Amino acid sequence: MKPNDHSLDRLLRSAGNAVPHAADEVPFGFATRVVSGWLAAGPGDVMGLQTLWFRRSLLGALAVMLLSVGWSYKTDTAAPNEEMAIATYATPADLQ
Amino acid sequence: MDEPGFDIEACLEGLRRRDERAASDFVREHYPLVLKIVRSHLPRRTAEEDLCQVVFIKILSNIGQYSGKVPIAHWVSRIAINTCLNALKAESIRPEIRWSDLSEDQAAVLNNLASSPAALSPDSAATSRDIVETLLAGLKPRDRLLVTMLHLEGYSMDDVKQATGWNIATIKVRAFRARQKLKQIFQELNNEGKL
Repeated sequence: MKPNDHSLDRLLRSAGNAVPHAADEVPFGFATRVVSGWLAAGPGDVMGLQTLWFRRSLLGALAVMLLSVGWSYKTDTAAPNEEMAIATYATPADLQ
Repeated sequence: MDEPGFDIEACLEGLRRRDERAASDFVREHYPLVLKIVRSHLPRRTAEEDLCQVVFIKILSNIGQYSGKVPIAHWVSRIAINTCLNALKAESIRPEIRWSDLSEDQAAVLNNLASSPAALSPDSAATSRDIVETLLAGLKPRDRLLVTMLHLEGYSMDDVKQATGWNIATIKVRAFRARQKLKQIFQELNNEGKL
């Protein structure tokens, strides 16, 4: 370990010995403010959940759309395989 | 964590009914825990009481999601820690520490560290803490959180795992990187002091 490591260790050890602040009493009116804020916020994070659900749906729909576009591009541009060429040739013209 | 006279089950039942008295009791019971976490990870320029208030409103608003699988104190800790992390992230500017910004006491402690291999005197603890907190401001929020928990508050890896929900491997790797970064900041400060 380099000297600098020792210095940092000693600094951290010394800092860890600092007396923590005493756990204070709840400030006057704090609980009331929290309760008011809680009641004003309404029951649960309904909007947050809805946003999350919509976002996931949107991402899912986007993924499906991209897959579909990719798949149709692939089938449109792919050269017809041998079997398809034979079938096309063998199919009567009036059925095509 | 909960006091012997405090019936957490009855309190949780009251909270689910949105009972104000249960909410007040819950706040009073868990205030010391939340305050301790907020004080340890408080972003600069943020009032601790405001952040405590935000933490409690989040806890109460999401109490329906508490499944009872972990002790309520762990659940409260996780929300408090995540709220502090978000507040730290919002404070995107990480200041660069300069030797000239140090107080005389802080500069003396650093000079003492450089000149003597002995442990610092107990009187220096508060000054050392100030220096470390200044150095920590240069780290990313999660790194800062880990160094504070592991090196300043004496948490074990398991304690950190319980409080944050991160796995041990993540904690070890991140703590190592955080320490390397802290060492770099410390080195740069010392080099500046030698000029």
